Amino acid sequence: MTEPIYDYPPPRRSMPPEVQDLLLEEGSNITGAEEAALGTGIISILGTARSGKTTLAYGMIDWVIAHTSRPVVLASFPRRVLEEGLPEHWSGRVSTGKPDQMHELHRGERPVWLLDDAAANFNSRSSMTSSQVAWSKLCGVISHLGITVLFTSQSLAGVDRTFFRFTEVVTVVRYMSDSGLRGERDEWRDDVDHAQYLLRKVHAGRPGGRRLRSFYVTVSTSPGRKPYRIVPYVKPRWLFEGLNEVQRDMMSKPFGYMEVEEISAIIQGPPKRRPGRPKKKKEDDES
Amino acid sequence: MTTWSRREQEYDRIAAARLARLEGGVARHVALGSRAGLSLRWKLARMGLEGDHIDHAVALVDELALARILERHPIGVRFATIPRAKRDLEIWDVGV
Repeated sequence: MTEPIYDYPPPRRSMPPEVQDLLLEEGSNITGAEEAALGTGIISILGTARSGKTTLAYGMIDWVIAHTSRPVVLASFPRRVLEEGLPEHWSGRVSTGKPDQMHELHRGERPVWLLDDAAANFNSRSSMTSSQVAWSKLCGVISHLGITVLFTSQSLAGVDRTFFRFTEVVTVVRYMSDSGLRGERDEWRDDVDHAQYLLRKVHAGRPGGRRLRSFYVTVSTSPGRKPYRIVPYVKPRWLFEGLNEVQRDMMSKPFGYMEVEEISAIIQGPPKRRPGRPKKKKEDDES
Repeated sequence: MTTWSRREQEYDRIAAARLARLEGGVARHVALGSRAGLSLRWKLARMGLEGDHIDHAVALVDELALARILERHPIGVRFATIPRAKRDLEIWDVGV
């Protein structure tokens, strides 16, 4: 069996109903399901490093560009990647912005946001910082704004749990290492564990490498959806054959192309003003 | 799955692995039957009795013993012992 590959545009069926539900515009028909699309929610793509999370996210964005008119925002992507790394057919549809602009960018156009490696911007250890408290409030109303958030992470334990509290969540599971699985959030560990079992089973005798990249599993708790669905990963030809080596690297590791100041701001937060030494009054000097 | 049921599964697996090392494992009627089934087998063999009706009598004693064991288990375990056709993994058709 060879891994399926498509020439743009991707077939509508290349995304499972659970993912279509959140990527399509509200009210659109979902292939393989009776109900109309919700058009808003959170899709979390989970997997160990180099398991193909970001390439799968690009596949989803390619699908959004082909089958909807929704704008796409690649959060905190370096300008250079946006200008030099993206394929031509994405131009005019994709922009970048800071996550704290989510409520104002493309207002009324129901954008799809990609937060690559969400643990960098929304780490669970920074959950009470003012920006993440604001994000938590925003999560409560993303359905009102018609936003779909697509994020990738190596572990849901590393991501602020506010992502999972308010709205429809579909988790897409790729290969996860055993140590990663042991450190996963208690409320997700069994689902992720079962997804790993399905991935190993479906990859038996098939290509996919150590990272079991040929398939992924969707986990959904929504009524009327399959709780677990095995989906073959369909490669966009442009991502593997249409880009030069530098572009491919930019797409694969966009954060590697950030300026040091930018990446420092994400990891350490904005530079803090050190309190200056209080000025001495003239009178004190004179006395 | 709770930690306890996960541990029970692990212990079951360990026990099954050790049992299987006893010269290739023990017969099903020894592992899951009753003493009555063993006695009956020895008696029938000593008497030199053979045939379908003898096999049925032995099977009856074995099944009664098995049912007695299963009575002490939850419905899920009992249901899991019913032979079923193995289902293939269902894979979403991506149309490529």
